[in-house]
Amino acid sequence: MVKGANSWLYALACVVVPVLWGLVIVWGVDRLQSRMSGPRGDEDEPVSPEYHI
Amino acid sequence: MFLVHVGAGIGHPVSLPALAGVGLFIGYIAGMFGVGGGFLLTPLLMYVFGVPPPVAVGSALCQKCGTSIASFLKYRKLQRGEPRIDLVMIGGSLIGVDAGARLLAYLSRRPPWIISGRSVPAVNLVLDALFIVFLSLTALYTFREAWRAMGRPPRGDVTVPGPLARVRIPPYIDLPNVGLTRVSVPVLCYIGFGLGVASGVMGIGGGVLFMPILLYGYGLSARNAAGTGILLLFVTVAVGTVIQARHGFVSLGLAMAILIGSSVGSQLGAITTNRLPNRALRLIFSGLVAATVAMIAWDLCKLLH
Repeated sequence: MVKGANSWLYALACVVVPVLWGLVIVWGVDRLQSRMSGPRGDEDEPVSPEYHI
Repeated sequence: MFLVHVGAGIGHPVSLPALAGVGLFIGYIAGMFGVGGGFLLTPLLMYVFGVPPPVAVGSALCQKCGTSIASFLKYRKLQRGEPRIDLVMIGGSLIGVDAGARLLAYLSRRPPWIISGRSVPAVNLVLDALFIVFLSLTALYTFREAWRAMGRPPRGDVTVPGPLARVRIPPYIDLPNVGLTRVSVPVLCYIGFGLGVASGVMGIGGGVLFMPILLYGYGLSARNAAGTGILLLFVTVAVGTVIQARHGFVSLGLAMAILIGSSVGSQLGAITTNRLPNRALRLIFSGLVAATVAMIAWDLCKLLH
């Protein structure tokens, strides 16, 4: 196991950086969709049961 | 081209565009079939890029931090599923992911096993066997579902309590969002522990095991099952990533290269989904999983002979 404060910082970065990227993508896709088609009320869109495999 | 050392014990340089290409493929599959893609990512990193198994597992978990937050936000908007199930299972799942990461570290430190006179790394053998078992079950399950759905009207959002919903081990919890009462808390906790171990050892989200449990064990509808466990998935992969990174098993550069590719691929896959019927998608998906099983089995044969 890696010891020290640096390893904790690195471990934290390994979570924070991908999460931030994920948030940016979600925000970007939402913006793009709302610009291209406007609000369509797609809350009842069918979902696949294996989504989070 | 663009060969870089990504650290975390990977001795050879890795091509970043090739990693992004794999991410694009994984993301495309994820967007097209509605899966996370983790079950494909770990074997691909191991067999195509020669990444050591523990680093492949840790980096796959790290990449899933980005994809699972997107899934969580999407399903929070849809308001499907039962968040109480996630909350009850989180404790067991976190203990499980820690146990799984410790098991992986233990296996990676073990001296190679001698099988038929050949020296075989223990961690490779165990991971290959686990992936073959779980992916075979997934392929069979998906194929059977696609086959049974032929000519049958959709069930809708009705819950038909399954065998796990009838287990009587106190204390109990009511799950009004999915129409279940007196569900055993200890059983949920132990299932969470099992899913956590799978995440920690294999670098997958755990849905490959959780969906059949929700659909057949508890009798949830497909929509409610899909919306359940997303918070659990995010918390599990985040904590799993921290634990694996502390063991030195995460390459952030590797994970980010894949994540960037998969972000684009998932959007392309989602467009393809709208052009194909659900049953055809499931059949193609089961074929893809079966092909992955064949790839891992081939690697295992090479390892043993």
